[in-house]
Amino acid sequence: MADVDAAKSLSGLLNGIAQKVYYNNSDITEELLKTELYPELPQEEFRALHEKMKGLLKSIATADMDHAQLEAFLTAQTKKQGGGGVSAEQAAALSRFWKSQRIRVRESLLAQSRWEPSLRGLSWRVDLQTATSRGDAAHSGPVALMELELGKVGQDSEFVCLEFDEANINQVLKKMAEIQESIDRIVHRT
Amino acid sequence: MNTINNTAALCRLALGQTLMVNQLLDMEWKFGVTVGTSEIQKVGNIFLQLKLVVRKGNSTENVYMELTLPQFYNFLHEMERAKASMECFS
Repeated sequence: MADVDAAKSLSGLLNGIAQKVYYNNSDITEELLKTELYPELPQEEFRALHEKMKGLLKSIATADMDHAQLEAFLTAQTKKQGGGGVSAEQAAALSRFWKSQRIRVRESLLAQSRWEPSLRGLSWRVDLQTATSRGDAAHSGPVALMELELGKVGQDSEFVCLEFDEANINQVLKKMAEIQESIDRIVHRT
Repeated sequence: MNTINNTAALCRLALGQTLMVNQLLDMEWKFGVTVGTSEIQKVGNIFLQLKLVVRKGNSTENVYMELTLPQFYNFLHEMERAKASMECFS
């Protein structure tokens, strides 16, 4: 029973660390994790455990370890002398955690390395002007309005509204065809 | 949701003017592969950075964004749909 509880607490700790460090969840704090998962553990011991797990996760995430690398890494950690190593149970918890969270952690780290806003969404409509107060609607063709939703990780979206007439949209599509060609060249080369 | 309604309302107001505002003047792009970051040693991710030069009234504004490939293809797809819609009326 005690083993199951210890495993659960450790899983909870690893998930809590991931929420805070990789998934931008500001509600999770070190104090919250201690109160919820290790209420009986002395403060200093919890801090040491927290730091050790955080450090191990960082090593695993930075190398984006696959299964073989992870097993080798964890085996080496269990063999370490002194207080720097991990127990077999801790190694098992880390292994379980990484198997389920690897892709999500990697995606999150990649997203954090994008420093420009990304295109979260877009919507558009096409309008036909039928009349204006200046009376010159006759020469105006259809106009496309496009709203781009831009945002960086952890920030609110910003909306940019663009207008295109037919000439504009053809120019943009031409540029996008150039980009497409470049992509195809690289993708076929690899 | 409020922001979407406000922007749409601004666009409708903008159309009433003689000049097209928020017209896309130019699009520059940069494309490559990210091989590593400070957070992950080995990466093989395609990145696409776009700079849109937009006319706002009398001045221009640069809008920067970085797209993943799926985002780029979605953008392209929507552009083609918008163009197809415009062709019905020209």
